[in-house]
Amino acid sequence: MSAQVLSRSAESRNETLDAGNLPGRQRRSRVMTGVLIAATGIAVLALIALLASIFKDALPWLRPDLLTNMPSRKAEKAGLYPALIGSLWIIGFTALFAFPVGIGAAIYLEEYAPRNRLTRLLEVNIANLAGVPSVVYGLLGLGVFVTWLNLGRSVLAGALTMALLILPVVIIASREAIRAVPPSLREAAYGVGATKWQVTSSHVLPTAMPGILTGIILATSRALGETAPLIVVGAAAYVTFLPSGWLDKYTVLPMQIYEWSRRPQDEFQGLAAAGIVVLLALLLALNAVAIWLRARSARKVRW
Amino acid sequence: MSLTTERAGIDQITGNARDAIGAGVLPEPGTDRNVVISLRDLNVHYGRFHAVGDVNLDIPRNRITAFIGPSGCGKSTVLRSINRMNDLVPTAKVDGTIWYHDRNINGRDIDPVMVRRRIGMVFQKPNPFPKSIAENILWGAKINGFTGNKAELVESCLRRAALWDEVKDKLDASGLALSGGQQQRLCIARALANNPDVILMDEPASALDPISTLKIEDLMRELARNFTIVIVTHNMQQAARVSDQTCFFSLNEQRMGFMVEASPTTELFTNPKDRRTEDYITGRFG
Repeated sequence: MSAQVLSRSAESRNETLDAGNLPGRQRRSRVMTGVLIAATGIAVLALIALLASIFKDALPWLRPDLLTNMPSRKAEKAGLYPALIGSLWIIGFTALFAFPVGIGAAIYLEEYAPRNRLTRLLEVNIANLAGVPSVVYGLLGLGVFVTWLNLGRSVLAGALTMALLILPVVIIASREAIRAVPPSLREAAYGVGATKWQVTSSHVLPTAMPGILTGIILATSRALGETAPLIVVGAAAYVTFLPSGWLDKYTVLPMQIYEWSRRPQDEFQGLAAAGIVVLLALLLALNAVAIWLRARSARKVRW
Repeated sequence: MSLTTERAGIDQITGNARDAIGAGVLPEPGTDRNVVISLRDLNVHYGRFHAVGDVNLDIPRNRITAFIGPSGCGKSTVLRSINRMNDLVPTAKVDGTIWYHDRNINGRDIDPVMVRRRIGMVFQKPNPFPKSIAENILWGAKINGFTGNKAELVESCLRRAALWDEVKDKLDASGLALSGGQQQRLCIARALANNPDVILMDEPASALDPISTLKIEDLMRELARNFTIVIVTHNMQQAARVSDQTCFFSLNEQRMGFMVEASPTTELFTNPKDRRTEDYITGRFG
């Protein structure tokens, strides 16, 4: 009986190497490869075109005293020194407020919070906050920091507003990184008699740190490019002095670029393009620092 | 092989502990110095699910107790109750008493962190810290206030875990650079660094190759001179090879695990008291 079945299946077996519908499937595969390359190409080309047009406009205006001069009504003497310094002030204080609070909240939500409805509600709301338009944070900052806390149009008010703006992103990115730490590592640490904080500080955080750093640097980059909330909380457009403390007035690079681009003269259009190049350079520098920090913290954990 | 000759027979267990294991009547907890841990009416729930019911068991000093049984019968759950690892599972609820000598370590007044210092654990999958070999051993000691000679501690733990000769020249290398079997012995060395009383092992060799498994089993026999060991294993031969006492767990129709019998190992495998044990060890389970 079984011998019969065997011999029949041997007879009916197709022993020629037959392509069947394979050519059609392979053709579709090649077409899709082309479509995907085209999609990538469009994105890259658009970016290159944008950068090329900015650099073309910016090139005549990219000179060292652009970075060291005060703004001026005369285009050839105008610089963005106060805006550059103002951006650094804002970013510094934003990081100072947002990072500890954001990472702290992420640790609480991932490691400490009970898994219940309230926690889930908090998590959903934080995710929603990440999608709120930035100008809304500006209005919040105007109401709370500028008026109610009476901080005025200061660096502090701007930085606190920016910190609120990036806080949800910092929390979400940090939580993802903390969640990626394998539970077996926590068990190992609890198993030798560690307290929750010892487990968190010695094992969970160092392991999650490269991921956390990536997330918070991306958030910081976003804050660096934001203009809308700072317009609302009163970043000045024309500043010819440097902030010397956190209660001083200030302006930031995107504000200065916006201010120049509004002017009708061609010279100021070129200056605006040069400002954009400076802003891009600052972003790249920030990301380079992030990559360096990430590599350094990844070395401490010895996988 | 050397295991069987070295093996301390259950005959050497004295006093009430022997009577207890033999007769199934358990003495008053805390009265027998040769019993390190006594479980009384241990019940574990995960949420509404009754995972383990009414376990009563004495674990004798400097002996190896093995938990065997089919998947899902609650043997790991019981093991993890002993050092309060189930406290880390939000839905878990452990009722009953776990006597550690004369103290109920399942009490609300007992900090689980304190329990885990005295009752160490080795997990199924080797999980060294992503740190150097030396740091793997030192971390647990350090957080528990160790102030002695670090190099000595590292060496003595690695020697007792039969790993020293293989790693003495690379103590600064990552613990994760070792082979699976070496990693598991590093985890055992790490558990020794706190000088625990009891070591719990949750299927410590199930992720390892046969040669590494034998090394771990040899090591367990060696450690049983000074430590009380409880091991969960899927491998009945392993239980027969290494343990002095074997506990067979099963599960009922509601998928609740319970302990069928606890006997001296040779007795359980040659002359089981319960029909269900016999069915399981002869492969007629189910």
